[in-house]
Amino acid sequence: MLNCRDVGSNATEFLSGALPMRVNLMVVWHLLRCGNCRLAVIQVLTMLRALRRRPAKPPTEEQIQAWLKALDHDHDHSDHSHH
Amino acid sequence: MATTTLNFADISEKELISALKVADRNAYREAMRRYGGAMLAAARSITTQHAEDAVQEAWISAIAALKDFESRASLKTWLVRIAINKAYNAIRSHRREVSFEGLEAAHDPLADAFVPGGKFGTQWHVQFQQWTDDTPDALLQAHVLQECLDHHLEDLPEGQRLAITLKDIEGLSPSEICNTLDISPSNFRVLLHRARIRVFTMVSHYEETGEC
Repeated sequence: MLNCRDVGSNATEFLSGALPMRVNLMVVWHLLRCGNCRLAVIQVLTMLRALRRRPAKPPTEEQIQAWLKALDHDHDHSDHSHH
Repeated sequence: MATTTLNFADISEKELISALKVADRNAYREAMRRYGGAMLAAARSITTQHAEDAVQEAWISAIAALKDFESRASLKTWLVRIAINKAYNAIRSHRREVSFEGLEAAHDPLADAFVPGGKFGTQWHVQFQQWTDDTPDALLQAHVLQECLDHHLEDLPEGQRLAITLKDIEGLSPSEICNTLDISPSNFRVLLHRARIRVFTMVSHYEETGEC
């Protein structure tokens, strides 16, 4: 039977569905009987869902200008190399 | 030209790709506004120092390769992959390898998390509490927590930061990450697990104390 350390060590693999079936069932069995592990696993899942939807900080106007300028420069350079 | 009358902020990804393919400058700007942040975040997870240059090079390569873009992945995923490759090339050209710091036992966040006892023989050192922000939406709306998260992600050992940023935030597949970073699947799993537990511990602490 798994103890709480075993479940903690396998928690994120469990949530990824990456555990072998037998170990997976043992984790499920432990979770049914252990409220503290159940809460930990639910909270890790909540956190992962939030991370996935976390918007990146948008670029600044200066960064966008620099990227556009680099594209212009590359375009000019390509044009010259074609002539 | 017809595309100049479009409100680019509202156009779909498909329309944006079409406009990018005809070299519409407003489309470039809109793509940069939409996806530049994710590209920067991914590049920074690999190299803070060269991230800006890597993203700039990524835009040049991406625009040049757009004619071959076949929409198998989303535009964002495609751009982020290019930024990651550029960032990785940047550190290799500076003769530095990605550090996979985070695999050593000292970086195991669960090392001291358990004590003997309880009905299973070994139990958590702490009793978890129900979070105030107990849904993904609520977590995302907790602004202090989000700032706290930025701070803690920066402080993760490099290998752990890479693993959680590329997998859980940018959504790349494990095989893609292992190939790009030349890391074994088992090491990747260890790094990802440790990063997730460290971030979970931080969020848990914040939810219980209100402190970062």
